[in-house]
Amino acid sequence: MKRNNTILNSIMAVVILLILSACSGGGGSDASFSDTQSRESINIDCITNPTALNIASYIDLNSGDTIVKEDTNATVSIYHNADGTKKVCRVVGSSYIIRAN
Amino acid sequence: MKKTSIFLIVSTLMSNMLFAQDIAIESIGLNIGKNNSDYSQDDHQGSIILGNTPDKRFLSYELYATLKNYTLYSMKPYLSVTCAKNDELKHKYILAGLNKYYTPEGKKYDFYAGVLAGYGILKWEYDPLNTAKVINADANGFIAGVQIGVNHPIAERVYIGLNAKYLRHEYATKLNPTAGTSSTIKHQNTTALMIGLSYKF
Repeated sequence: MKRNNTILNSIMAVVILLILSACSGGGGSDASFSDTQSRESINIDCITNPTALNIASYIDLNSGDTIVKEDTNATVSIYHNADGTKKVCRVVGSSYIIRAN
Repeated sequence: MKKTSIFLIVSTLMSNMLFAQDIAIESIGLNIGKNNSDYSQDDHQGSIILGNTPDKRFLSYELYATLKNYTLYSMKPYLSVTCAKNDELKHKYILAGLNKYYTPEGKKYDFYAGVLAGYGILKWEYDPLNTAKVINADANGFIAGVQIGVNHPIAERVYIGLNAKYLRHEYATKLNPTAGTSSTIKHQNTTALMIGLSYKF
């Protein structure tokens, strides 16, 4: 009987600790990143059935660049070229690129 | 300031517990291994596609001690400090817990399983929005978890050990590149697999 109580108490201790940790919002403080300066608007509209020349006119997307869509329904197209470069254009909505430093 | 206060309070409580209960260190050890910290990204307004997503894998070091002259439900106290890092993040945490040990009859090695609670800090080494190097950006919070392990003697008083941990936490990182867009990265759990040596006094 005593052994059963010990096991039960141990299980309860684990459950309480997990609940406290997972459901209390962490109990600490958050990190925050904002006010990014180096933005570039994605203001070139995508062309239906684009030629290589059309794609070349789209905006360069470099490694580490972040895309921010200001509207929930904003959409962009990203083209991966054979030489490893990437281009981006606007399908709908407002989006911009934060350049990697 | 707040983090320092919490660390001081926890350290004071631990040291008071040791003196009050005449508890002594039974063994100390050092573990080295790999941590994996999973995260999720929730977009609140607009959406953010990170060009450089944070690495989930960490190289970790844990310094720990087990205590004697005190048991709770025949479980022994366990204290540890861990530093885990990769190129982008540092994860430091202190843990206190209770381990239940089991030695198979006629065998030298022993198994253990235990519960853990503590406090941790996840420090960003770069800005996730633009990859710029940053200083003093961190999320912190309480941790709860479980661990299992095995120790095997390799010399008098010296043991080699294998340890696995599962930790729950909720470190939140808020991204607000403009007033119109916001997103949160949440690091919610860590698994650790480590190997190490310990010395029993």
